Amino acid sequence: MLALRVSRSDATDAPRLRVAHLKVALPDGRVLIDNASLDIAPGEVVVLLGGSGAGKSTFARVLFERDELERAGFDVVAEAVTFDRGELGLVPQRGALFDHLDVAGNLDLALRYARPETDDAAPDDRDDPAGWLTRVGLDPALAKSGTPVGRLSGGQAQRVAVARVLASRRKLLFLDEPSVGLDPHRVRQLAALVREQVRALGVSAIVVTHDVALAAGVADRLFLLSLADRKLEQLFASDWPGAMDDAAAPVADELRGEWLIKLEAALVDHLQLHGDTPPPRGPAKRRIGPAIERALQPVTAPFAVAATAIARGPLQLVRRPRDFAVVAWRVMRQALLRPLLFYAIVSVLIGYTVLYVISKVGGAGVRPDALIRQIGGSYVVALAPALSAILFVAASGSATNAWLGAMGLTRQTLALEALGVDRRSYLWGPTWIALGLTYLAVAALFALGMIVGGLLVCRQLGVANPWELLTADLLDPRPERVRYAVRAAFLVWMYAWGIAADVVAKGGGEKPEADAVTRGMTASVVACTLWVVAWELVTVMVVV
Amino acid sequence: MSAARRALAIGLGAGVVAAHAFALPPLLAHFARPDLEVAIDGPAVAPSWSLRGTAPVDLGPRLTVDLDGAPLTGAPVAPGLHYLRFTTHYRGGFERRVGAVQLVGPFQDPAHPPCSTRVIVGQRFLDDGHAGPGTVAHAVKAELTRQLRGMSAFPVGDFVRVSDVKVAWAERKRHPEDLGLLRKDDPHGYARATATVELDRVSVPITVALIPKLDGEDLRFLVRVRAKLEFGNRFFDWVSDRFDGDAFATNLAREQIGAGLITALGPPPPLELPGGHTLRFRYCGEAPSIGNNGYASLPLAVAIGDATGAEHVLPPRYGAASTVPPAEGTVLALDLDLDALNALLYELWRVGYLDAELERVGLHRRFNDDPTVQELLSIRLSPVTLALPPVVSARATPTGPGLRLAAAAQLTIGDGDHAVAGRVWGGLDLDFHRGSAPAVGVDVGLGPLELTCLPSPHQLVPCYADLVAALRDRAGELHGTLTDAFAAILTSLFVDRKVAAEGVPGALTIRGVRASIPAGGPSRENALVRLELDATLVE
Repeated sequence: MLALRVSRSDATDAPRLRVAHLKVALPDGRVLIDNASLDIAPGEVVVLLGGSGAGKSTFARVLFERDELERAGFDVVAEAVTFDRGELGLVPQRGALFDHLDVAGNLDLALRYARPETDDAAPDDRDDPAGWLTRVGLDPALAKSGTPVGRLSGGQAQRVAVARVLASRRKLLFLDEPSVGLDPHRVRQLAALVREQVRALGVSAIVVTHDVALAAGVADRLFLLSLADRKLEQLFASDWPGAMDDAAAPVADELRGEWLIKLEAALVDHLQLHGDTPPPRGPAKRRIGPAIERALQPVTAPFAVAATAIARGPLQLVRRPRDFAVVAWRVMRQALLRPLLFYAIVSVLIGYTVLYVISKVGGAGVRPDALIRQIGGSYVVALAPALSAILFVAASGSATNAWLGAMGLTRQTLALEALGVDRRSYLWGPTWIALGLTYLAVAALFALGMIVGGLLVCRQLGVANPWELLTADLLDPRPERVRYAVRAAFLVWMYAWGIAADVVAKGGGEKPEADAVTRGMTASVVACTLWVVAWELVTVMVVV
Repeated sequence: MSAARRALAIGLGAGVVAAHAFALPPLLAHFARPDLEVAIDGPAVAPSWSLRGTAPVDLGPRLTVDLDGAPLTGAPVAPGLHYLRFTTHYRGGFERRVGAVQLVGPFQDPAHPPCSTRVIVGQRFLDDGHAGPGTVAHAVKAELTRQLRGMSAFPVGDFVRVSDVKVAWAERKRHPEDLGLLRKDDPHGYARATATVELDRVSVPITVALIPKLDGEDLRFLVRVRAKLEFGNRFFDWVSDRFDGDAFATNLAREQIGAGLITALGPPPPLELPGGHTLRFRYCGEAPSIGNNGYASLPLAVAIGDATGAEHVLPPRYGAASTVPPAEGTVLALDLDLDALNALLYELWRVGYLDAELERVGLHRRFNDDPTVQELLSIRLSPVTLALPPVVSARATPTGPGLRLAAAAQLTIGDGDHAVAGRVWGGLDLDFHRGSAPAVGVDVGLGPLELTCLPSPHQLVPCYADLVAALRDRAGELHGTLTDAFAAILTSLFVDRKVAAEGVPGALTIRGVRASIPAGGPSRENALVRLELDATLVE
């Protein structure tokens, strides 16, 4: 059934992961992991058990996001953390399937990034999403185009996630709480699946869980991240019989039951004794550099995003136009198409109101149409950039921000990285470009809406040639007004990439909890508004 | 991303922002559109058109150049005041305009002013057929009656009445019976008066020929009389000689008829202007023209002073306008061709009358003191003066012939601490055949209105273009006001004016005036304005 079969003897080869004397401390000095050492051989499944707060997720971040962890102020010290980054794959909690892609798209993405860009070999059965679904026991019909990942059950999603990481040809799998939300039957199915794939493909796996059934079902070795001393302890080192849901080495139900009870007892005893033990406090390392960096991060991150996006966006468009288009379309759909009516209504309303009020401010004795003739389309030139920008940030920017934030929150971003998909190239570049282009379109639409609002006023007042009049300042301004038109175009351009950069930076930032998503949205609205205000003032000074 | 790469990315991003910020001024400069700026070359006054302007070449097709609103063709330019205009066009109907004026010759010679004015005395002024009131005939009859009343002489008896008084313009070929009264060198036309003095015993028919003669700048009427007392009796003829009826009739004609005609046919009286200046007409050397039972017209010239200023400014000379007979029933009329009108305007300008009037009217004060201007505008105007004499020119309109009075004014426009010299090109369009006829027969509307600023004497730039355009757009609202103002000026000049010659018991009184362009005019260059005066002779 499976093309790849690796013999158990491969397990004697060099370890796929070697962690030696790892110590991780929080920024305040509390030690989360102390002197942890672990080697994982090819074809081996290691389970990390531990209570809440034991450092399981921190261990995963050491592998996947060590730079971000350190930048967040964590102190990470190790004699060795050795693995091939290209072999490390992740099955996040609840699968973290990419919800901007369908089921087949999730698999296809993994498959395409697993193949070298220069690989011109004809696709084989390993490049077929349906085949991978079959391998994990799912209906291949799910690979039919348009099957949304949101329609999958928790078990199906988890299996698709496993299929995805396997399709990416990763050799070292990190399964983060893979049984969350699964019923016991599905847990055993998942365990059997992992064992089957490990045996078939020769991959190694680290399973982080506190589900004893899953742990017993898949583990070659069991480790406990101790809440007592924050060290890594191997459980049942001498007598653990091995994975109990491996179809190749079936275990009797009595034996399975006996070990489940032992395992659960060991875990519960440990938690009873040490569940409330706070992490030991070491010396706090007050590093000014990271602190300043963190403080400045809301300001500096957009600049970094802009530079990164400028470098990677066009490259992504050339190298992977399909992925670029998928992300860009997603952004444009939620940033332009969905709020299109909103922009149309607001811009017409503002255009009408502004011109109507201006036409009346002259008071008695002043002809409204004469005032309007003097004003022309300058109210659009003056107001459209700023108003459209702030509304765009609040509506479209927040939508995109929320989408990016949700990808981080649900660990889809991490899953991307774990598939070898660079988030900056795959997400940031296309999103930045698409959002910038979308804003340009929104600004144009907004200006048009304001003109339409002005046309309504002109029609009321009987102004001659209103279309020509109201578009003159935009399309063919008089010499003394050219600078205002140029200023408006310049502002729109600055707002386009500036807002896009800030939204991507804030949305793509770390999202440890849901509140971080809303914080990012609010922060982006504030930051972009300040960006708008700053450029309005700067350009006014330059132009005048 | 490593810290170093991250720092590099931040630096690059900040660099992109900084590059944009520094790029804005050059960007503004790059996209700046050349504004209309014209270097003008040529004098303000020239015998032939010689004004040239150079505009930036990159204005391209949005630039148009016209002369008095018509495309430049290179054809010879008629005399008068001409406006060379450069216009750039922008979307929305917006324009930027600058222009310069040149007064083009040939010019009138102050020593030999052209015969540009004609006083026309219609038959009706002499006699309406019944010696009705207000006519010369009526005055003659009344005066004769007054002087003869109570007269009694032996043997003719007592004075009864004066009858059959007739006064008419006559041509000698139509009155062979007057050959005895006329000489060879007399003109063909003359005024012919006949009357019969009835006494108890005789009737004395009198025929008087009044023959116009120009003597230098003086118009005289030679009086030749044929009067015969008809007794049919040698004795009474002897008595008649003693009565000296001819002498009586001659005196009567000279005093009553001749003086009346001189009053009517003579030049309008000089108009006193401030500063001891006068505006006056004078005989221009051409003999009066008289037609049988028609009218008499006397050519006159407007006396103008010498050329003024460094530019040697003089009024333009269009040449003779074609004469047009007056309408039947005309009492008294004044034909002024463009040379006359422009000579009048020139004199008024030369002596400073027009500038003084502009100052008195105070356009700048009205503008500066206007509450709306004070509240909304930052610009203030200096007094407006005329850079050149206003000039009237012929203007063909779809609705009929018309005239345009154009003027070039100069002023200083202040805007805060900034002041710039400005030139206004303005005009009034006079339409003689439009709509319901106003009181004096002329509709007046605002013609061109242009403002050009001159940062230096030969550099033209547009200024306050939208403001001027807004004023121009409101020209229609000024139509009624301008028409009324023009009617008021004409009325004040003529109506209720009494013209009396020395020693003449009657006075010429004008009761109304109506302006028109006679059918047939204007020609391309010159035109004729006829002021028909509703005049009467008041004894």
